Amino acid sequence: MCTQWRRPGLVAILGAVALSVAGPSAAVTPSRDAPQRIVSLNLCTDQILLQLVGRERIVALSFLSQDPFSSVLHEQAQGLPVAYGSAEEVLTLEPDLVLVGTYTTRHTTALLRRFGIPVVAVPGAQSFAEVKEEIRTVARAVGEVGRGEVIIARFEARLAQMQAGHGATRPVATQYRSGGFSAGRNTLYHDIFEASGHDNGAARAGLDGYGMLPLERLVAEHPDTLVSSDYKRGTPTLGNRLLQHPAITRMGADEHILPARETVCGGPWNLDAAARLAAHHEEASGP
Amino acid sequence: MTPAHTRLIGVLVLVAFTLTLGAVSLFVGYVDMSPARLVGGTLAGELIPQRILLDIRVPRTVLCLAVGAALGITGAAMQGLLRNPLAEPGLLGVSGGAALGAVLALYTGLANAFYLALPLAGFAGTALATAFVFMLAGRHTGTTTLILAGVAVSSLCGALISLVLNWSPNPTALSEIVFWMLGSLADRSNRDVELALPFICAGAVLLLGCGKGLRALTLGEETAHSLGIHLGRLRVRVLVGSALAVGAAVSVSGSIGFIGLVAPHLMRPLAGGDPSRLLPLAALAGAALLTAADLAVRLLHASGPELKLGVLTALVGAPFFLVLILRTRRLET
Repeated sequence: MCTQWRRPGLVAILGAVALSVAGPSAAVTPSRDAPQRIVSLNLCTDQILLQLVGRERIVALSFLSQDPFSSVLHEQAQGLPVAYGSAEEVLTLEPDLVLVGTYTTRHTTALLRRFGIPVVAVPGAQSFAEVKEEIRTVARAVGEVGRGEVIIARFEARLAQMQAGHGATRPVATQYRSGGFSAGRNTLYHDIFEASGHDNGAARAGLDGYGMLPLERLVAEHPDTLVSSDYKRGTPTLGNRLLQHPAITRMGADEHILPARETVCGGPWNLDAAARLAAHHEEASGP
Repeated sequence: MTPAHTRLIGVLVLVAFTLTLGAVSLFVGYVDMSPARLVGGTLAGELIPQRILLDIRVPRTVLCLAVGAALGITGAAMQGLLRNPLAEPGLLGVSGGAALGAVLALYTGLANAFYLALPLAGFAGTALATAFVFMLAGRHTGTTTLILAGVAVSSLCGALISLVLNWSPNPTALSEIVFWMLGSLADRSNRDVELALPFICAGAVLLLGCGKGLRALTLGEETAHSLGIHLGRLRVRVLVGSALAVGAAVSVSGSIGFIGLVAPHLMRPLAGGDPSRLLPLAALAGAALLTAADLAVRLLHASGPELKLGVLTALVGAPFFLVLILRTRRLET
């Protein structure tokens, strides 16, 4: 009983504090119009947003938005304020739309919704189909459906062009890193390999999503290229110790490093990664 | 049939069983490939079967047998030296030190510097922990002091590992450290075998030589002394032997529990209460147990994260140990 009584009271107090901090303008923004004060709390929504709206409509991006290792659009994000994702911080920014990742800042999302701020949660693309879907979702939320369709059309055209250029034989690529983790079917890597004219060895070995791939299965698929990421290679444990295993070194596969920022989030830059891989294969197989 | 005959048959059955397990282990893995294809392909020089058999399954099987034997023999030696049926290889800080060394290597990124950096860091940890136990216990103190010193060093290592986990720089480092501590022999290579095997053998030889001393010790410290056994020297030998064998084993496999505790208990009836017989038998039993456990890990693997070897030995080992205790109790009453 007691807690049931106390909770609405607490919310009311917090709400009052938030309103007083936010000032009068928060209530004035008309709800029908396209949002003008957008906050993004997730690296992937940061980048979708930057493609769709002008800087003047962005109030803050996530703290990773300016990291050159994580974000393709880090230069575009320079100079924009950065948010770390606490509810207090977001409330003081007086947003009329907040973009979040489904699995990040979960409590913040719940709290923001309780204060009546529109929140759009984007799960994070695991395929090119989902990339397009997410661009559409965000485009609809920010009122830029037309711009979204232009980006998608360009993406599809480039993908079709790449696929038309594929040779008859498909080399095998596999993403592999320390601890035996790999990316199978239903991952961005899978579609990137596909677009570059490669088969995904981990998917052929039966892996679905991200997970462990026993070394034996990797060897059995005999990949031509082992793909790894440049993400924080200098920091402990993210290097690729397992690639020194004799079973791998004697297999003759070469390692190719793809920039993490082109593979972490879904977007047109995924095709840049695919183009790199395709170019690497052409180079390796010779004229 | 005399008891000696029964014992001999028991030993032969055990040897045959262990060898069979080792052979089966070569043909069970994550890729469906018949033994004929695997061996045929290897002999014909085909790349994939050859790499799978020679670079993945052979080292894994050899390490299963060697690490299991190291844990078994050390368990038997510890139980003999401390005259305590609950003693296990890690009691004197040997595995704690190895774990701390390896965890530090993972934490600092040293583990990625070169292939054998991780096991070598484990070696260094073992050496430091053992030296520390020696310093604390001295040469002429009683068994209790030795156990206390071992427990103190073990808990210190445990505390430092927790500290490292606490400070861990990223989730990947955290998961790799935790997974390493769960113990596994998956995807080890011949280079791990080349590194660990000589030390495991040296440790085992040293421990096998302690049989006479440990047998005398079963009669009590005073009697052993009167029989010409130098207790301080025996203790140094057991400790150095364990450090070599278990330090090398843990450094490549991570922590694997219960094998060292259970193997000597299993073999005690067959050894007839004689530590000098128990030592090799416990080594055999340990080898068989660990190979069987690792086979189970491979057979249980469907997809998704592999059940870690150390988790399985603990899960199976604990109830097994309980049954053993209950049976002993029934026999005693």
